[in-house]
Amino acid sequence: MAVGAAAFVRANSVVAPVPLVPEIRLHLASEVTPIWQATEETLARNAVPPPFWAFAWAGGQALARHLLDRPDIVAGRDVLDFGSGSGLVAIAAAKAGAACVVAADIDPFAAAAIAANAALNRAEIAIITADLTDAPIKDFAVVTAGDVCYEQPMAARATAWLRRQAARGSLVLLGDPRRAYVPTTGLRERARYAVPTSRELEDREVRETVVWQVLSEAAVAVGR
Amino acid sequence: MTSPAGQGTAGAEAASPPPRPSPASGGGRAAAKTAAALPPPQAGEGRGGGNAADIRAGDWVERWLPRAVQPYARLARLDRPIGTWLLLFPGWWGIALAAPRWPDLRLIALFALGAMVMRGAGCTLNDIADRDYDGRVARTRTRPLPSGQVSVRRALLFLAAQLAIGAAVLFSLNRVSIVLGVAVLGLIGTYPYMKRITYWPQLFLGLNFNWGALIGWTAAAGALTWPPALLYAGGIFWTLGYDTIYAHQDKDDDALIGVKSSALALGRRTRPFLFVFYGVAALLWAAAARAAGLGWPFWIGLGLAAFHMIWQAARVDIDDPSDCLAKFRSNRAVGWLLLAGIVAGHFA
Repeated sequence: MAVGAAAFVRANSVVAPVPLVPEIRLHLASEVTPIWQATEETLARNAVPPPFWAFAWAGGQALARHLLDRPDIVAGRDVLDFGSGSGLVAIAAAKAGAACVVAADIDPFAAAAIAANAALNRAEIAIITADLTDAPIKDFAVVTAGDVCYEQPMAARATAWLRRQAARGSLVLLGDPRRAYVPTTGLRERARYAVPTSRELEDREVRETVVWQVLSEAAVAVGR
Repeated sequence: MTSPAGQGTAGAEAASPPPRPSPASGGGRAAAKTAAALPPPQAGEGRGGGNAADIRAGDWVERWLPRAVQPYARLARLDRPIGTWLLLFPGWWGIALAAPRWPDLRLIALFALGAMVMRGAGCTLNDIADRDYDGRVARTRTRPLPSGQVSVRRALLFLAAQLAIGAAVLFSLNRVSIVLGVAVLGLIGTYPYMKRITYWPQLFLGLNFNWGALIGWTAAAGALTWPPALLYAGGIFWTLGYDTIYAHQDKDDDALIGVKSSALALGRRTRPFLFVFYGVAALLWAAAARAAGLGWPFWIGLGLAAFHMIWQAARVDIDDPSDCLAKFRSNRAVGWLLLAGIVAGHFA
């Protein structure tokens, strides 16, 4: 990752443990408002995307907790974390004993954050900034996605892609705190967590978050 | 096969470079196709935005060669010679080690020609195989075939011409060398598939790329003995080192598309292993020199080469693709130092 992005990540974050996953520490925004405003207002000119990487979103926290509590899901297997952001879920997968972990996020600043966070937690993670929704990739045993259904176009695209991965035989896990655009069918609940979050970021102190298994289109069609 | 991005400037090669071409073929690995099909990286710092083509404007090929010849020079990657150097040095070492004093200059010239045309043939074959695909990727769109500067038919003729020259070079050598040269073809054939089935394709590259150490010796001395075998073994470990550094440029793309490499196998443990690889290489080269009875000047050359390899292992930043590429390319110096040591070792 470019030195500039890495420096930006370090300059605009502090290292802190993740509330639901205290065994993992991340470069996080110390206060929500300044960095969000900084990127939205000042840095919009320089095409810096919103710093999704600077927060441990509820969906990712639940998913990370689930992987660490149930290491058998990923141990010895290849894991792809889609829309990785801070890299929290990818790091949890690595710590749970995954054979190979790839973290994908189209934001180059997220890539820098993932690299910094992986180093912080001594996790070995490959980082990809390509848009995976139209890229050929190998078969991963497990595909994870934390909190990717917060806006409509992204949610539709991500969900379709996740279902295709399920159709290829991957175990697809989606961590979601009931975002507006999460699908209402074709999901099977695997776990449920009360995730501590901040009132600045969400509209409440605790968000009930579900780890869903995303089913393939075919599985949805036959009503499973 | 040097710069994936091809601009040849450190900055332009930084960040996520497109998949590397393999040193053996000098062109894309079969699997690299999928990775290169990924959309270009997001705009951002250090991503080499503007000119994505892997052919440099205004380089020596453009300035010095006739326009009609330029596309062929590109097909043979004459503009990126490091692959030829790394293929050539083991052969030169073998020739020099077997020589009574000065190496046979006729053999030196023949091997240089042979390494150039065989490496060029590998790159040409790669460009023919990937021509449709290369046209859809910004980095490779300006290559001679996808850009229409050369027809497939002409590229095939050029490939045949290079192979014919390679065969002519081989058949001008003595019988043992011809047998060895034909024998290695089977080994070369397995290489492209190794990255699918093992995390150590670098080992197989080493087996291929250092074969010249054996042929160089037999071309000059006639029969295989211990010194060339030790020289060859040392070369394999040298290749393990430099190609592991090279593979770190693409480890992320490789992990995504399922291509295996020693960089992925070693990960954070790469640095200690580089010391081991290069250390074993230096020890085997020392054993080769002892077996061949080289004198004290050799040890200066080997010492400097070993120092260079230690510098690489100690300083390489495996997370910085441009630094990996620079360290990889710097192995030409190891080649020269060892060659100088071998030649000088005969004059003690």
